Parts: sequence; C-alpha cells; structure tokens
Amino acid sequence: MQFIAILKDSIREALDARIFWIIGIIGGILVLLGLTMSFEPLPMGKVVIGNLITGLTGAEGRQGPQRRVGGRRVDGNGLFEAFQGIFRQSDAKIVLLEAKAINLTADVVNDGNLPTSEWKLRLELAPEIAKNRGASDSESFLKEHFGKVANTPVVVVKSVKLVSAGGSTKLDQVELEIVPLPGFRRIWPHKWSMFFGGLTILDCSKRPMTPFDALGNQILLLESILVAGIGTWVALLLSVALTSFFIPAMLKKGTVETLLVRPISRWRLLTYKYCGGLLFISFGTTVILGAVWITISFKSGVWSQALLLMIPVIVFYYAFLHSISTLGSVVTRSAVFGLIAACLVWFSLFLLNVARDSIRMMDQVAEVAAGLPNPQGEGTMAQGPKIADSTFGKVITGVHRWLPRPAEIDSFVRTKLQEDLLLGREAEKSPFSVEISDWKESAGITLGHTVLALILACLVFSYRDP
Amino acid sequence: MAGPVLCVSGLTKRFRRFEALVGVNLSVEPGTVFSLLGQNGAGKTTLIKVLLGILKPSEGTAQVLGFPVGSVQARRKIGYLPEDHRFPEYHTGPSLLEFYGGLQGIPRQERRKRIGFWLDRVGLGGRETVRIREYSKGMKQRIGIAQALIHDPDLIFLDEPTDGVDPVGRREIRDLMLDLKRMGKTLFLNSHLLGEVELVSDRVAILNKGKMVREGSLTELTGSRPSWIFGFAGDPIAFRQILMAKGVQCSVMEKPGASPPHQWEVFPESEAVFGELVKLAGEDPAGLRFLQPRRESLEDVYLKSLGQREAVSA
Repeated sequence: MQFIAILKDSIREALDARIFWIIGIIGGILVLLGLTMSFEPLPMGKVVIGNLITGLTGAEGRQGPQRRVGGRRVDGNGLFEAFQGIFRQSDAKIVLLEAKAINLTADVVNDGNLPTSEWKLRLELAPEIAKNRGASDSESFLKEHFGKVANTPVVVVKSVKLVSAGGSTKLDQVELEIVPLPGFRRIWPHKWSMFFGGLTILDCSKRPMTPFDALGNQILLLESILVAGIGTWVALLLSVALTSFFIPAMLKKGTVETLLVRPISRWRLLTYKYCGGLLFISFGTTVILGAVWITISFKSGVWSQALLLMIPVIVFYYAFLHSISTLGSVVTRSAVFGLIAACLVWFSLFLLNVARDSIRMMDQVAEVAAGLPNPQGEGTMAQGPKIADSTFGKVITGVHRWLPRPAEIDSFVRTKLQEDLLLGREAEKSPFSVEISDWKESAGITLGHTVLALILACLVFSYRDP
Repeated sequence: MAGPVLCVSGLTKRFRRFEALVGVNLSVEPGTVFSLLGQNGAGKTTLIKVLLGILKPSEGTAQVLGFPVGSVQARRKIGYLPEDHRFPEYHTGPSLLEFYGGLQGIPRQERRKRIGFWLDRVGLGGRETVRIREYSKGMKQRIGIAQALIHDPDLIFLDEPTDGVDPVGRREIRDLMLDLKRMGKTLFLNSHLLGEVELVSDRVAILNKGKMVREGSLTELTGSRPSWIFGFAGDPIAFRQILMAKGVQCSVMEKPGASPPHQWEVFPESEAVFGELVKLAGEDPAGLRFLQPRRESLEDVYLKSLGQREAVSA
C-alpha cells in the first residue's frame, strides 16, 4: 500500500512537471518522422539471384555487374530483366541461362522484379559441383543447397527438374522454381528515403550495390546507430534530467518531515521513491521505443524483435545513473548536483572506456608492426613493451574491469540486432561487428554499482538528521 | 493508556558544538493539551522533532505512547503538523490526504470516508479540485491539520497551528483542538500566541536556550494567590497608612491619564485581611471607585521565566 501511495505520488509529480507531455511529444515526433520514411525495393532481382548462386558455389568475389558476363531482356513487355551469368568455383562453373518471375499476383503483376515474387530459373552446372559437395546429383544438390545465405534459407526450392543430364563432359541443365521466404526481403536492395521520398538516404539503382543497400543492413544501420546508439544516450540523459528533481523535492525542509513521521522506514521510503522513477522511465521508454519499433517495422516490413532489447538496456543504465543521481541528491539535497554527479560518472566511464580501447589498439598496432621488415636494416621490426603491461595500462585496465561498462552492453544489443537483421554468418562480416567481452560480467558489475550507490544513499538518508 | 503518553528524561540534542536541548525532562498525561513556549531558537521545534523521531537525540531517553521515539509503532499513532510545512504543490487536498493516508496504511474505503470528513471538518469541503499551489496560507494550514489527523492519531503535535490563519479560522482551529481533547486525544502544542495557549492548555512548559525553565499547570504557573486592584478617585492617604501599618504587600499602579488615576495593587495574605481592607477602602475619603481581582497572566510568567519582565517594564 505504501509503495502504491509513493508510486501514485510520483505519477502526479511527473504529470505536474509535464513529463508525460515531453515523452508524448518526443515519441510523436519520432513516429511522424518514421512514417515519412520509405523502403522501396529496387528491380535488382538479377543481382540478388546472382548472390544466391555465389552462395551456392562458395565463390569469393565482388558483387554486382562485375560477375555478369551477359544480359538480355527475355520479357517482351520489358516488365523485368533476367540475365545470363557464369559463376565459377575452381574449374567448375554454373551458368544462369534464364531467370523469370512467375505466378504474379494482382499486386505485383506490373513489376514482377520484387522480393515477394516467385521465380523460375534455368541453370547449367557442372556435375562435379554436386559431387564435390557430397550430393548424388545436381538435382538433389540444388534442392538441398540453393537459396541459402550463410546457411540460412531465404527461398524455398519448390521444384527442381533435370532438363538434360550433361554426363562427364557436358553441363547438367536444370530448371527450378523458387518461392521467397521473409529473409529474401532482407538481402534485397532497397531505396531508403525520408520525408516521403524527398530525401534519399541510400539508393544503389545508379551505382554498384554495397552491403548497406540490402534492406536488412539499412534497418540495422537505422536501429543500431540512430536508435540504439545516439537515441539511447539522448533518452538516458533526458530521463536522468527529467527525474533528477524527484528525490530532492521529497527531501525539502517542510516536506520531508511529513514523510518521516509516517510508519515507514527511511530506506524503504527512499527505495520506493527510486523505484517510482524507475517504473516511470520504464513506461516512457517502452512507449517511445515501442512506437519507434512499430513504425520502423511497419514501414520496412521487417519485424525484428532485437530492437526491443533496448528497453531493458536503457532502463538498466537509467537505474545505474539514477542511483548515482539519488546518492548525490541525498548527500547534497540538490537536484542540480545530483544531475551533475550522474553526468560526471557517465563521462568518466566513457573516458575510461576510450583509454582502455586506445591501449588495446596501440598494442595491436605495435604487434602487427613488429612483424614488418625493418626499413633501416635487416630482419623485422622489434616489438617494444606493451602499454597494457605498464603501470598506467594496468591501472586503466584494472579500474575499467571493476567499473560499469555501458559500451559493452550496448555492443551486446548491437550484436543481437545483427543476428536478427542479418543472415547467419553475414552478421560476423558486418561492418558493425564489434568485440564483445563478457556482457554478463559487465551487467553484473553495473548492477553491483547500482545497488551499492543505492545502499549508500539509504544509509546517509537513514542516519543523518534531515 | 494508563501511563504518560510522553515521557522524556535527560534529553540532549547537539548540532556539532551547539546544544539545542539540554537535559530536558518532560511527562505528558493522556487526554491533555500540553503547550511548549519559548523564544525563537529556544529549541521547541528541535524537541518536537526529536520526539517524532525526525532527529536523533544525542543523550537521554524518550518514550512516546509506550514505544521508543522514532519506532514504527509510535509513528503509527502520531500526527504532526510542522511549522514551515511545504506540501507537494501538485496535489489537491483530497489527493494529499490520499497520499498520506496510504503511507499510514489506511484501507482504501476507510481512507475515502476520512478524506471527506476531514476536509469538511477543517473547512476545505467544496474545494476538492483546487491544487495546493493555489491555496492561501490559511488553507495550507487547514490541510496541514487534516493530514495530521487523517489516521486518527492518539498523540498530535501541532507546531504553530494557527500561523497565518484569520481570526475566524483561529477560533475554528481552537474549537477543533478542544474537540480532540474531549475525544481523549493528547495534544502537544507549540505556539507563540500565549492567549491561545492559555485558552486551551492544561499544562505548559517554557524552554529557554534549550533548557526547560518552567513546567506545570496554568494554575501552578500563574499562581494560586491573586492580587487585587483598588481604584480611587483621589489619593487614598488613609488607606495607604493602613496598608503600611498592617505590613500588607502592595504596589502603586498610578498612570497619568488613567481613570481613576489612583490604582493600587494589593496582595492580601488571607481572606480576613482582604475583607478588612475592602471595608477600610470603602471608608476612605478619596472614594473607592472599583475593586478588581488580578491573576498573573501567562505572558507575565513567560517573560519572568525568560528574565525579561524587568526589561519589558523598563
């Protein structure tokens, strides 16, 4: 009952401070911005199917027109373009003779070159490819392996028909029909624009395709950098600032006395008030992030749940910063000092992380340089002592280990986003890949510091005269 | 409750080197109104805060309603109106009482009933939607009293309850205090308004520089032996000679412009002496105009206790 009373009081306080308005306005602006966004699939089925064949052969190389050896229009209406291509793996080769969208439904009949279309392909492939991969023949090989990106199927091979067997000298000619899976959309290049097409962000229709042009990567870019990156830290700062006055207001002379005479212990009073702020921010974060997630998913058609992981992550870091702000406020009874304390701690942790990463990077560069030929003489460059082994390095590494590491949990979320939005091993090759240490340890240390700050605040509040 | 509701022994409170309370002893019986008097900075609010468990005593012991001060059991039965209260201004009257009622653990249905009752009782009925930031000083004082009483406490500490309240409101609050007393509640009052204290209090204590200098019932403090003022139209030469001859303690109260101009305060030792003096005064040619009993006021006692009566007279 007491907790509910304090919670309701916090809600009234937040309503009075127009915090819900601020959350609503921020959420509204983000949703409106999101609604002006569009992801338009580009008519680049040839490139996508070429990528699927590359995956089939395991050939390394650049994507795009470089692999295309010939192309022609096969559709009289010019509705889509198929192409011919040769893909090589060692001595073996696969030739794409024809690719054609089939079973066009009413909504795609005017442009079959879309990630939702079914395709009919005609291929020629060397029989040894199947044998090298442990399959009995080309038919079963294609059925088993075609349409996988990094071992993740993006299409279903609906039918495979051996048109002519090549024997030992010729190529097998095969016809297959493929039906797209949701993952097919993620590897399909899209034009990403804002403000109803007024501002183009990414469009590869007039240039070679890059990894960023695939829809999965575009959403990853949006969610990882804008939402999980910048958005998270802005949201955290805003949350700490908005709630920093909750506890100092409670500690005001003339207010605190009316609370301290109630049959509730001081530590419980403070903890309940702290939890009130936490619940309130949880609600705000869920509303804003939920709205952003729904908007992005609705506009892109890709419902990646990993972004929702940001909700507990933001609340978790808010809990830490709020505990610092609470401790600062209890010690000084000043909202401003509480906010400054939280920001200072945060900035110090950021600097510490930068210092630790810099030491690592410099040591890695020195290690690589040590293997290079010595320009001033014979042999290779000698490796000097590692910075990490110096006293300075040890202090930085040691302190970094025992203090909260926000960047690491942030990395954890980004990795989850990659796993969700990119396909299988593609995630590992993503330009967003970061080194992730033990996130559980990092979360545990952060939680420990949160609890410690809160215990200290409770002790000060309980044993010091108001 | 059989014993005293408040029992304080050797209570001392220090703020660094400053002693705000020095060895205070106190006992308050149930169902009485106990008032604490003292100058600003005498330690009255500090004493209340220690008794409420808000401040921790440096030395000494104190029990409230049979429980150690500051214990949850004691706080369940205590109501408190602070002197300079600052209730959260985003609340309305009902929501503030709802909040404090919730903290007191009053069940919801009961809380609703009590909120309506106390808002009406303190004169805030019909103003349920007004926020506290829009309240006048008097309204804030009224809601403060309501929050102190919402949980039906046995012991109520009121620190300057009529501060900022208009005369009608003061009367209402005084009536409320007397009602509470009739209901068997114990009131611990801290006020600068000595007249008001005199009207409602059973016992009074005077604090000076953290020390309890006087404590007792009103009769005990103001004295059981009243003096009498004899007013004459002229100079009562014969009456004065009789007073001197009989050795009766007296003092002249002549004031220029007063009517009658010749007034004497007389302290008769007994009823018999008083009767004789009345008879002689009536026979004095100066002409007795009035005879008025005079008891020492609480203000006199208060100023005397602080050693300032002489200074004020001067």
